[in-house]
Amino acid sequence: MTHAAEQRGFRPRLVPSADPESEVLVLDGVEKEFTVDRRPVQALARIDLQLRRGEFVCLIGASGCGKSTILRMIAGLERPTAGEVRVGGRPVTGPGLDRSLVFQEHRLLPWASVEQNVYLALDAVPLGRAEKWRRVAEHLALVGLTDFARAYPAQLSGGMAQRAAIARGLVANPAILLLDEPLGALDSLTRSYLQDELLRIWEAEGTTTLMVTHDVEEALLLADRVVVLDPRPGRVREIVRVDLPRPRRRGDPELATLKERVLGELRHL
Amino acid sequence: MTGRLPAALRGWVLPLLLVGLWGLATDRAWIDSAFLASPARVAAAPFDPQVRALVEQGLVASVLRYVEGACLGVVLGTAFGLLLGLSPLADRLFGQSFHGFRQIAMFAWVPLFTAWFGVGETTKLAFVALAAFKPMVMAAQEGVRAAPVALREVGQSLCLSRRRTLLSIILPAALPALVTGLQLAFTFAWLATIGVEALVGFGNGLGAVLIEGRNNFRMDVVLFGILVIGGLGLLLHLALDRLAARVLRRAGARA
Repeated sequence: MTHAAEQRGFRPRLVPSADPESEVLVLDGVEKEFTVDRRPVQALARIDLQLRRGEFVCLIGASGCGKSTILRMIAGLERPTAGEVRVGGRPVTGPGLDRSLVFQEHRLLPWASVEQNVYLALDAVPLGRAEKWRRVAEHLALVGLTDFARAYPAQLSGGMAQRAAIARGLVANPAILLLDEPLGALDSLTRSYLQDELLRIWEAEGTTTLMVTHDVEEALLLADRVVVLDPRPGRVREIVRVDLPRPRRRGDPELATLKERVLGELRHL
Repeated sequence: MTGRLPAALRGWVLPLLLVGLWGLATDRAWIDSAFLASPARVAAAPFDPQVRALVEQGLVASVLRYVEGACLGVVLGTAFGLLLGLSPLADRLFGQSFHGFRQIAMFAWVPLFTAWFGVGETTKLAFVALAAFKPMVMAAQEGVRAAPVALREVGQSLCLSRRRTLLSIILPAALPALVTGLQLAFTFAWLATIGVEALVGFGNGLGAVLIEGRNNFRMDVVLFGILVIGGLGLLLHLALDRLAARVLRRAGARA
């Protein structure tokens, strides 16, 4: 699945390790404490997690279990109170182009067109203008927004805006794509359509993906592994491996069995 | 009664009533003509070549002074306001002082400026620039704060340079505040132009024309001058409104 990307020569530059089975992302005893009303509140208690290259992993849990905080720490927008996040073997100290975060709200700049928004993600990438615009066009095509390149975010539907945000997240060819409930605010029809899209894009790009969701079915449709989190403080309750071939059918009985299991884990709180 | 008037005419009702009252007051000599010229005499004033030349020269001098001073104040104010908004250090160093400083009434500066710069052009320019400077600083500082954290985080996670963050995120978010600041700055600068010309003697400009007319008991010149100043102010107001609406509409079509 990483062949397409490999051939284009993007990936080896960004991932130092040559071993394809290597763990590209490691959370090593990561803890996070916030200060609320001058009192420390533990948001995350010792998270240990490893993602292999090209893997698609979903984080699932009740609200307040610190799912978004995990992504924000990997993205470098927050610092862990204890422990370490490592990407390609190097500790994360801040934001970097090897990781990209797609937020729950699309967060496109309202004063920039779709293509300008995507182009902005290449601003810090050392490439020529022509090559940058070629990549922008390529990624707009990937998310099916070629005809809306010149449109402004306010002119897009929620699903289209989120696809533009995904294009922005992928255009710099990050080693790790972090998705923070990117489909959470969409209607169910758009949502199921974008789930298929996301899978197609992931298969085309082969980017290691960590996605936060609160939808069990969504997690099981997409992920290689589903990490079930307990809330207050957030910690890993169980990791469920999904060994079903893709594309998975929503009505698959095996999927239904797994769904029961994950829902059971979530309810035993 | 006014309910039957076309909407476009309603705005003229009050001014026309006042002009009528004014005509009546001068016609019946309720007020000494040394203090109030009749509407007819004021209407005739622009046809007197001497008065006309005086007002025309004053107008050119005022407008030049205004444009120069206002632009200076706007540029400096924008720069200083952006600095306060962008740099916490600058805000700590200068923020409090500036907010104390801006509480001082504009005309309180006149004695100090005349002591420093004399009664010539420098004082007048400094005064006009100061009038434009204050609202522009406020607007630029507020504007920078208007950039949402959500979008700043996008800039952070895309590893944007400071320059790119400023150009692509901070300044576009500050645009509405900057436009409002610009409107205030140009309005206050016009008031300040006339004010300083009237207060600081021995000069040209419409403000000086008013004073000269008064000293010569030419109330027709004074009133005509006031009408010109008011008319220009109104045109300015309309132009700024249109400009602001246009800029904001273009930004709004995207936001």
